[in-house]
Amino acid sequence: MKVRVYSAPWCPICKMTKEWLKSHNIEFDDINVQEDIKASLYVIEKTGQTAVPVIEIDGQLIIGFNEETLKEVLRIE
Amino acid sequence: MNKEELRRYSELYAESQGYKLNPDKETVDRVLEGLLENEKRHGYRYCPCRVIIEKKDQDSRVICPCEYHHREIEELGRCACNFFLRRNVDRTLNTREKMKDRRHYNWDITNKGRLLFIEHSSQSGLCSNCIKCGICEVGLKARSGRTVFPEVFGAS
Repeated sequence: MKVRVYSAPWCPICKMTKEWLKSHNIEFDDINVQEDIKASLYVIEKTGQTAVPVIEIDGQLIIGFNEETLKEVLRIE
Repeated sequence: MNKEELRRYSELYAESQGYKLNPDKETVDRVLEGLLENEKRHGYRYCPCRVIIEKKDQDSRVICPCEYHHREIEELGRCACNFFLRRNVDRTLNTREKMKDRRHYNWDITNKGRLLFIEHSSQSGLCSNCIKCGICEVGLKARSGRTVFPEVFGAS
């Protein structure tokens, strides 16, 4: 399962999301949208909004930190 | 402006709007530091929880307090950063809450521009996050072809 987190370094909810993924032993690529313009445009293009975190799991995009959705998509009990 | 001055400024702004700052100091400190870092690096206090594309006219929408915070606070009780909260909201973040789908006029690029979401979720006026029009008035500007993200759509 390929997981990418589009995040920003000072964003509290991004931090919370990454800590949650780590606590569930989920490996992920962390992409800093405030450094990577291509990644920023990708987030805008794919989600229609500008807030992070955006979590991409095998191509499926989740906007914001939603524990229930993450558990469902990552198949965590 | 230093961190404490910015905290006070943000508190005063929040009070003036009927909001408050998140009572969680760690969250607020992180956002304040991000705002100051963005000011140092980019010249403006861009929201540290939003993407910036280094186009001043477009990025100006996300200078804190950003264009979207009123609607987010109205809908979720908090802004995207969890920085400003509605005054009667005490929780910092409900991890089960769902962010609203903002793709009012999002184009399905893989389908050669077929509109995915024709109807606005709200007919109340501004659709501040619409990527086709930026600030559209119930789609009128979207249909005109104006876009604030020409890099994505190749339109002007």
